[in-house]
Amino acid sequence: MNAPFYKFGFFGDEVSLVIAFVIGLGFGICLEQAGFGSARKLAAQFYLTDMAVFKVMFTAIITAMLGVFYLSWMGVVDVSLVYLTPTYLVPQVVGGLLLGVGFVIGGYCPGTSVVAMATGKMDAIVFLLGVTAGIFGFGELYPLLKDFSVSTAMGQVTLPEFFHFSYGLVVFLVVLMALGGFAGATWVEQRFRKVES
Amino acid sequence: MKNRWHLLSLNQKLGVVAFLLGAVAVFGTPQTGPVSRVDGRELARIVETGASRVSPGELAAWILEGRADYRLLDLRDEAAIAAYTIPTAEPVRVTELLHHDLARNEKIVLYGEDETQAAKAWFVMRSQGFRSVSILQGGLAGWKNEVLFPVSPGPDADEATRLAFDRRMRVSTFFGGRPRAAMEGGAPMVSLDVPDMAMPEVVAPTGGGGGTKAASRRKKAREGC
Repeated sequence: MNAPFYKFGFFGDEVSLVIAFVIGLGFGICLEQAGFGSARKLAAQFYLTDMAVFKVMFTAIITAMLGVFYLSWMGVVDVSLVYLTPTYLVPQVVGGLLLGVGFVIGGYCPGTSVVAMATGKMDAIVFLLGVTAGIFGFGELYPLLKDFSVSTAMGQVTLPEFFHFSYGLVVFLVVLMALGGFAGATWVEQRFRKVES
Repeated sequence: MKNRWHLLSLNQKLGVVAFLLGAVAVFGTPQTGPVSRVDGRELARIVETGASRVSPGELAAWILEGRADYRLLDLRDEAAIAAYTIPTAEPVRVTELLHHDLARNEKIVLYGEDETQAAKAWFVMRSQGFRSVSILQGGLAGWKNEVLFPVSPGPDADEATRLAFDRRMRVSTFFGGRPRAAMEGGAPMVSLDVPDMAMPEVVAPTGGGGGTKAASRRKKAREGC
């Protein structure tokens, strides 16, 4: 077992930043090629006329999940060393809602706004200025928000631990959920495009 | 079956593949913790050649040079550590070793009261892929005998031996120890006080030690977004 490579000392902090940059470049290219540099396409997700965001993101989740699971089963990856973002339930729900509102108003999420800016879109530049202002505003307000931001802490919890299911069963259920979601998303797209036209 | 497969679109084919992988995953068990792999021959070679040991004199030199390329881990209990610990050492229990912030390519030196505890911890760490882990020769007892309370050579010692002892005496004094007289037949051979072997206060070396310097260098940005 020798992965995650960083945790096993194959490279240090400096090289990890270079690798992150290269991965980020690749991610940006894939987003742009998928059409996620367009605010219309992204906002259409919320009007249910184009479910590409849902399909692409869920496909990425399934691919990564199956990859990590099978590599771990083969003894290549030590899953216990993979970083997990701690869960703070209520703050993260509120933050998600705020991000969703900003997403549908502005037409971008933070990552896709950088992709769109890279292709020269003015609305993306304005969006990013708004993101920057929001970051500074949050920083200034943080002393007031600090207690709330760390409330309802659940630690680094995973679905298998939470539901007391085996990892393999959770993988299968998430795959089923994804396949059902894809079929449902296609049906929703067709229905709401008909309504629109 | 073949014809039906050809009739499927690419997305549908990928969906079928994902479904099959998910179904097989029900019977799988991912590795969720450290798994030990041991190369017996390599370990035997290391033990025989003594490549996994660091002498107290060597460690004292590293501390005096202010080197920051090693981690010194004290495996003893809190009470023992409170009484005395080698400068630059970090307290870590054996059970916490694998959860401690240690990189597998770091130079790590382990010590306990003697070599026994450190040797067991060494084996655990080698089995988890820590390639540059060593034990302090003789443990704390070796540090006391060689660094803190070195034995002076007898009156018949040659010039080179006396010079070497002079160096060891200065190192001993730096770390708060006292040289011991060589004994023959119950009487001291040279006029040195026989110290009571009471452990000195820990002397923080100038220029920062390996533990604190390396720890501050290792302080990295928080993981995650």
